[in-house]
Amino acid sequence: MNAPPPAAIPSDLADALHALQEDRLDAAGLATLERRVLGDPAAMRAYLDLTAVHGALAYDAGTLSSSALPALTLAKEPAAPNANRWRLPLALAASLALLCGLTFVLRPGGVPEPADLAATGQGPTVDGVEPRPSPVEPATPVTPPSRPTREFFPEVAAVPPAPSTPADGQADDRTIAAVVPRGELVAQIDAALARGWSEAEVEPSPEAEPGEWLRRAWLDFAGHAPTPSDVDRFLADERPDRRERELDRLLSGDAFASHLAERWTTALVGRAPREGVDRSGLRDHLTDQFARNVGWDFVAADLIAATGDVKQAPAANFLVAHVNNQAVPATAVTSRVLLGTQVQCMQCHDHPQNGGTEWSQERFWELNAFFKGTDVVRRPASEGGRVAALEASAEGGPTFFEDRRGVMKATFPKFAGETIEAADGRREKLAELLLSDDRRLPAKSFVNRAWAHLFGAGLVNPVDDLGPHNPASHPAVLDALTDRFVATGYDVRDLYATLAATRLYRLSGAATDGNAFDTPIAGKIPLFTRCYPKPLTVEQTFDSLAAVSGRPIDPAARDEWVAGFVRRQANDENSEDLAPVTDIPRALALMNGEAMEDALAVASSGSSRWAEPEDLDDVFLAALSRPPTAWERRRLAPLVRTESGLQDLRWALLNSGEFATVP
Amino acid sequence: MPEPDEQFLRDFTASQRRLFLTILSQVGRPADAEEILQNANLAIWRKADTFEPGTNFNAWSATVATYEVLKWREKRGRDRLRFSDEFVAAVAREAEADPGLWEERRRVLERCVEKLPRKDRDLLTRRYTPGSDGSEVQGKEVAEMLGRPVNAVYQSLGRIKKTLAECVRRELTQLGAPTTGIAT
Repeated sequence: MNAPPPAAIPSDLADALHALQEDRLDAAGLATLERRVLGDPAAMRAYLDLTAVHGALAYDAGTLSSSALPALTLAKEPAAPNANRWRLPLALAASLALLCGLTFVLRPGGVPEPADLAATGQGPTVDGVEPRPSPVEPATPVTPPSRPTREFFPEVAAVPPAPSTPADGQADDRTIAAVVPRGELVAQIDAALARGWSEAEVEPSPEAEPGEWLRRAWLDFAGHAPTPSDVDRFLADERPDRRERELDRLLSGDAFASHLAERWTTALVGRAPREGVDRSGLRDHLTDQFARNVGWDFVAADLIAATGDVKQAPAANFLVAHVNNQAVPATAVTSRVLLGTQVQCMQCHDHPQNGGTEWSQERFWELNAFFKGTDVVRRPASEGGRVAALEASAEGGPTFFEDRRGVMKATFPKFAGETIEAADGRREKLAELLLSDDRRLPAKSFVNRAWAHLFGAGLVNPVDDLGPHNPASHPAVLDALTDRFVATGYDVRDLYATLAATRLYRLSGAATDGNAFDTPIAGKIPLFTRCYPKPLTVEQTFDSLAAVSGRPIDPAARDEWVAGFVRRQANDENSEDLAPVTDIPRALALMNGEAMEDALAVASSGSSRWAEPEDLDDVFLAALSRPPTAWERRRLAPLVRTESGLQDLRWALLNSGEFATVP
Repeated sequence: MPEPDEQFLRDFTASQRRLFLTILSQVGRPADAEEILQNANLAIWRKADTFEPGTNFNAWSATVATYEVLKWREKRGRDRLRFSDEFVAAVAREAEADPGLWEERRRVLERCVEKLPRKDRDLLTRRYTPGSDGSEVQGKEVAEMLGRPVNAVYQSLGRIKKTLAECVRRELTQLGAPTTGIAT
């Protein structure tokens, strides 16, 4: 036993904490205080002792006495409406895993009805989500990545197993014929949304104007605004099926693959540079996969199971980014991004209903154990230098973790009731189990993200928080789309073509007086009475500036520009920079810099309409893909007559909210 | 919802100070800790029927409180100066290891406050007695009340708190208890 610590408390610590308590501490001071406390057990003790004094004085002086009791009278009020909306910072996953763990993702068996949650309005508690015995044994594993089994998808049984065909990039027609034809599914979706509208007694927004629709389709599928000549071409096209033709063109274009790859790369490894991660290598890999329309099940399985160095196996970048820290981030990010479920401990204690044996903490480590035996190493690269690689370590056996009582426990990898004891091939096995699990989370999660990508809000929101505690706004739509996605061999292009064919995608993004209340803000159930506008991502912004001014899309220049937007919070590693960067003031500040100057420069290579506009139409059509409204014409008429008025208007439109939005 | 039994109520009432201090150690400001304590109380009350009688109420409620801290941080904490996640997790772990010296500390602290010079005690009372609207009175308002320079009052308060913390440590050591719950 050591001697008790001396009574003296370091002055610098006392001063810093005092400053905090008196609201005088700045961010730098706070950071210093943190470092001090985290780095030295004696400082931690001093911190707690000083806090105890301050707290006890505040408590005893009566600050608390009056407020703690009213809480009791409030106790029977409904829970805070947002109780199930908050999201756990990923960086806390490590400590929280020790407290609780995955609550529903990893639970074997069926997904319980959310009925009682809805009825009481309670937040997600483990208690409300009682595990049930597994209704069926997990589907017979097929060679990874597995196909849905016939048992669950009888319609698949009618046709021979049809893996998606990377070679020709199109899903097998026979497979599609065996499921609901696309037109029928689209009609079902339209009808389901219309039912919701009539129940809420609200009319949807009218159809989008051609220019608005075109801009949306280009930003969604090509990742940037249409060029002025594309606008001209589309608006001059009078064929009744010009939209379908445009969609075909966009969906089969290279830009669709690279835009989707950019979005997924950001979701998988974020935007900020990471040790060992070759971000653009991963993006190139995904671009290739999307361009060849490889089934998403293959792509996802590859991300989970890849081994080798990131140059030869670019999919390995995903785990190179996340297997640090005992693979806790890998466990959490895999759940969130690929399964659409959060490592979220809703409440952290035993489940009495379950005899106290069902520790959700254990579920977390059971999933985590699949990543055990995977190390990130540095290998010499052929072109010199070193390159990160995923390598199997010699370490097999169980994973050890400490439970809340401080008892050491051990677990083998386990998912959906199946335990894997072998040391090697654990990640391959995980990919197989995830894809054969009857909850179909990888498919459902992808469908929900694609829906949110096009319509501005997910069927489930947040998009990565699927689960019985957070039901979909239109569950039948989500299920039907997931059915088709799985049955077509996770055909990404088919999914997007289906979504884009809906009535919703043709609706205007602008609200009417009648449906203005229908906005996709957190906590509200979206009715999709319009195609909600979406803010441009930084990548879309940069590429649109190039497209409008007739310059080529330059991914390298874009990456450099985007780097200026990446915000990283110290200590929040592996999570914070996964958030989309939509800091508009900052974006504008940067836009007014070089990128904006380039867009406005009268470049010889630029389109003449943009470089030397002759009238209002030239400027509006190029910048916003639409002609000016009558009101705008009236208001701006004087400007046209002033010298360089149109030039100034270009700047104004590029800085407008309309330019910064996918309509 | 079944009514919580008497034992639950007793445990609940007794836990308040401990919970407040646990939360405070994770957020720094009494006003914030107070708000979170209210949320935690709501949650504890709501989940009362899931608590298994006979198990450790303190550990259970501390976990609920930790959850409420996280929730609050997520909801309210983004826009202001706050501790890092790593720090909060470390402090939560540390506070959880404390087996319940809070009551002991309180009695000791009372004695230590009594030992203070009258002037210092007066300053403390003004600083910690809630304002007429129930809000926290900060050092600079105390200075205004006393007509003393803000910095002088600020310095005095810092010194008094440090003195008290050291006094508590000494007293606890004499009582034979470690200064915190960490086994030494």
